[in-house]
Amino acid sequence: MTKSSKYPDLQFISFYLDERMYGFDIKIVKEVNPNASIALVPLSSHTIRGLVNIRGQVILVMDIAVIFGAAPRPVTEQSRLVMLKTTQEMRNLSNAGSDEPDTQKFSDKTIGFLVDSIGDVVTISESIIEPAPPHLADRALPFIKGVANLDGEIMVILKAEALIHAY
Amino acid sequence: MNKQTIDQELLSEFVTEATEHLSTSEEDILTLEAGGSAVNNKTVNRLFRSVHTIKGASGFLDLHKIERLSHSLENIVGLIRSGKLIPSGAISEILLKGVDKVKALVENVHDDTIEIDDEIAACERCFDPGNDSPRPPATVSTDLPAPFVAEPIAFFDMTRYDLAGAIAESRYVFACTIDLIQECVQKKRSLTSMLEEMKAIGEIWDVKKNTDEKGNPITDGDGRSLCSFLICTIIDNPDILAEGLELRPLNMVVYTPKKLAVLSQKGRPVMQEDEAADVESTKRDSGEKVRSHESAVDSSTGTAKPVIEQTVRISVALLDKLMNMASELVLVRNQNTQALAAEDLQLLSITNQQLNIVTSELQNSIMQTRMQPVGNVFNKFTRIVRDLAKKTGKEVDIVIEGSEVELDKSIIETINDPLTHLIRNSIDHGIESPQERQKKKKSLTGKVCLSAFHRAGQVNIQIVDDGKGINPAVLKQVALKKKIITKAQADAMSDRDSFNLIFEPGFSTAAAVTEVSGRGVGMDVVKTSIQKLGGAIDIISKVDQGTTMTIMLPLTLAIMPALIVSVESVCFAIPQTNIIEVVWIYGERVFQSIKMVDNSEVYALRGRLLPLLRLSKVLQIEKTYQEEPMAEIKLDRRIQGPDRRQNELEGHDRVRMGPLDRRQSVSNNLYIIILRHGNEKFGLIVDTLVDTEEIVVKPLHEQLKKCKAYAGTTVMGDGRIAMILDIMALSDIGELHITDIHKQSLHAKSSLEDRQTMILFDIGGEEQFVIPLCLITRVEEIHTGQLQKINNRDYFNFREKIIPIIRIEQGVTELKSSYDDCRYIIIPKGQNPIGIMVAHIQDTLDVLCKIDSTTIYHKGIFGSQLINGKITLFLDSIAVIEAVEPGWFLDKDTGRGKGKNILCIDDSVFYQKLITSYLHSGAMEVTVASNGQEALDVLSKQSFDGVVCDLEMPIMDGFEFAEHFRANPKFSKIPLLAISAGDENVLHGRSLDCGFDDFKPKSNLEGLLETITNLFVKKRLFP
Repeated sequence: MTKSSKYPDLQFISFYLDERMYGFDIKIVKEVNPNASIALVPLSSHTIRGLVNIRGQVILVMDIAVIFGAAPRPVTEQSRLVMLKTTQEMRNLSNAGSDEPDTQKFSDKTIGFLVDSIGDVVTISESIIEPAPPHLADRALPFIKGVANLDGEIMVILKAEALIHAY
Repeated sequence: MNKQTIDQELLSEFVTEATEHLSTSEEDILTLEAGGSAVNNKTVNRLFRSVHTIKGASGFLDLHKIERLSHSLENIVGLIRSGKLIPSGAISEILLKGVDKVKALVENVHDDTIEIDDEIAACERCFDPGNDSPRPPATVSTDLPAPFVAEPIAFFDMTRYDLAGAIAESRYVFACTIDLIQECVQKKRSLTSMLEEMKAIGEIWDVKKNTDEKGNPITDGDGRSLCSFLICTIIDNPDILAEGLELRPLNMVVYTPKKLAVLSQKGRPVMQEDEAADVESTKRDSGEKVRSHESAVDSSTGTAKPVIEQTVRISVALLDKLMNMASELVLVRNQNTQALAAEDLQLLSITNQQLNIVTSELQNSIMQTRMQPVGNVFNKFTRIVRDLAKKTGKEVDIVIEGSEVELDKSIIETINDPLTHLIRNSIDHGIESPQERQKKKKSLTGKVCLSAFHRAGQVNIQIVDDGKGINPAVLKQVALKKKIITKAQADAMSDRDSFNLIFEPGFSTAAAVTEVSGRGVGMDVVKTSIQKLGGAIDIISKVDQGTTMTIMLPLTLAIMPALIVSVESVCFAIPQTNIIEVVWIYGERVFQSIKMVDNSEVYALRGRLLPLLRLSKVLQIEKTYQEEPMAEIKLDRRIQGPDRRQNELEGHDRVRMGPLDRRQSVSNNLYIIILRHGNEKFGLIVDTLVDTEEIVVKPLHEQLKKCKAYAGTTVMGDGRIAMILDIMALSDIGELHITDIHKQSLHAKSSLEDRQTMILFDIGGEEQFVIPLCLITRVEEIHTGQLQKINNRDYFNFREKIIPIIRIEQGVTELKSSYDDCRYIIIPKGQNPIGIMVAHIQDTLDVLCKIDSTTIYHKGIFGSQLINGKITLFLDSIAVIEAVEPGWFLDKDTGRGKGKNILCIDDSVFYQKLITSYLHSGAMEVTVASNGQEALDVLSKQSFDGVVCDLEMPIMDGFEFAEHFRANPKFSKIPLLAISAGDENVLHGRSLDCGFDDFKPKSNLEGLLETITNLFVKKRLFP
């Protein structure tokens, strides 16, 4: 789903959690990985699903659903790990001259989020992004940057920098 | 590459080199100062070269400030080298301050704001030739306040330390001017010897003289050669001083301590402090902020400065080794490829082996590149100790050993701060002032010994001081006051444990808490830092004698051997350094060997009680089980540990359980990993052992640090992730109270000891017998043919000796027996081996002894008990042997015991019987009592020749009994023997202290007779 407009276009990577569509700013996403064999870490916070080994690196996996107060998502064939860039990787991006997100709040290490399934890369103009409607659950509000209406489907744009601190 | 980058590289190189030079320079200056007038040529030359090199390089790179300052320093060193200047305390101070400033300049090469004027001025004052009369120098430092400037004392160089020291110790300072021609030339003594004499009286802070290169005084217009000096001494009378030095000063100004104090408070201190002093510097009186020079970002200007990267020095030999191994690796890789292509499994396995070897070697060598000698850190302490000693007015010597011991670079960096803190503590709170030391008849100079050595696979760093030690009582008081421990804990705490109170957060016995650069380092932070490195810290101290602090560190952080264990198929890694041993228990022993003491589980390991933790419980993992493979996995709701039903089982100890009973299945097994916890041990229960692996430690994610149980993560060989357990943290989470357990263990012991392992046997008749395993040396299976009959007695060849064999029915004639061709010999313990023939050995079992000695009683039988549903007789082997071979246990020595009346005190009927048996065989009479109280009652009615007493008993234990016993003068001549199932090493000494004459462990009761008779002899000879 792409929309063109005269305003600068923003790109988001969309994914699904419990039939709802969410999105991250594509500039902060490093990779989407189908590997979901997560090692449990006993005694860790419930929002932390565990750790996963990606090419020798130990990645921390968080569960957005739990952060929002729902039950932990089951792992299926469709599940994916959406991995964020580290602050170093984001800084490299900013040195290239483009407009970068506030890198201070991200992590030095790669963090991944477990999602039910992955959607397309969505390009939309900034103008159609609205602030979060108040009827959404209170718990989720601090993590929502805004919502966008894409041909009838609502995509909730999330603040990754807030999510990674929810533990 | 443009000029800028070239310069940047050169600059980095300069910084690296200069830093090295500066650290050796510091050492050299200290060496020179310690040497005094005996200037070591090598040292001074090296110092000169270093400073000279820095000067040159900085000039080339347009670093003017560094150039100027090093130039000044070079001049001073030059004077020292040519003998014109003696590296006194004052001079050294100037040099050190200068070196510090150069260091600061070097580390902040881009920073233009650092000023060097003061140091330059100080240096110049040093080699400014003498003046006619004391007057303020032309280049007056703008910091000197008016009072000082007007004073003659300002003409000299002195340090804040010296000044503060003089004030603190109430010394007088004299500024004198003398005529060298008169004092030296005419009196025919050299300047040096004169200075030596002065040194004997006090401390020379500064000397300004007018001499030429050869040290000869240069005369001025009046034919005098003026020399002015500043001397600090306890002498208060100028005339006495002059006489003592045999001088006739032209001018003398006296500064009393009071005047000095007044002067120094009126304005800013004499010498401007180094603002960017290095991190290890001591507390400043004025509490100046120490600027951290770690960040590359200059906060005042806000721009990011280029980060000067850290480098490491590696020996070329090591690099060559690495190169060789890399090429070997390539070779093996090629072979491997070939083998795979040819699908040659055998060749593949060979190359795999080679791969293993090369990889390990490569790994080791690369690790070594990160290893740095601890000397890098240690050598800095010489300066710190010197400064701190001066500051506190104490005399301290530091001895450094083991500087060549190597540690991982990151460990060395992290250990710096804790070590500094500990050394400062030693000097601050440990070493006493010279006056105090003199009162205690100690040497005036305190000694701090900093050493590093390898032990048990770890590197130990020890700080030993001979100061005033730590008083455990004081510690406990403070801890009580701060509510860190309860009164009960304080009472129960041993002195050794109380030293660890220092590490509790919020604890500080010092009246004023000393801070290090505002970082708030306390002993608890020291301990946490060390623990984070995977190390441990221990303190031992003796009041007035000194304190020893030992830090144990792993050799490296990056890769370590670990044991992988799993609980409910979640894997964890336990670093091998923590592991002492692994115990495997299965089946029923799982329930029998694990006891409960005060709500905690314990395991009896070789006589000692070990507190246990279940990993599943600590990590809150739910336990599941399957009845059969592929069956449904259910939650395990059994009460972990000793089955509650066990109480009902007593008396039916071995209710035969079928193999299907889950309680008996082998899958019901546990592994107990015995772990090191400081100086103690504890056991960790896990489900399975997976493997031992050398794991690469990956640092823990920030979000997981909350869990506390983990020290890191690792990826195992199969790609799975395992959490690395933090053993210390685990014991905290599991609320392990190790010291409590040990207290309990003594009491718990008594409830354990009545469990005896017995051999169940019969002699072919209907009866079933048991004999305790602890009394048996060996059980042999024999055939009738092996027996030899001589004189109607059977003999058997045992260990090259012929031993007589007796049959129980010979001693207990009512018994019927029937032996097959194949039978057994039980050989009890004893000096002279003898064998007891039995027909069948049925089993070995753990029996809770509840001997019924009334229903069936016979000589040769202790009593009976229902075991396995059958009445079982306890064989009194000693009595039986006695019956068949009278006098067997009696040899000529023990005959002395004949007829003596002994009181045997033990709460266990079993041991009562056993000991009675022993003593009877020695022809002694025995009366028994079950506890101390009962014994005292019996003693009041009867008299005895000797007493054998168990230590662990209810109502009144052995120690208490001994106290009462010995308190009564009637009993003082009676020998008192202690017996116990506990730890001999601990209890032997203690029992002797309490009044026992000797100690015998219950596990080794043979020789009991001999011990008692010996006691009789001793008591008679030495009442």
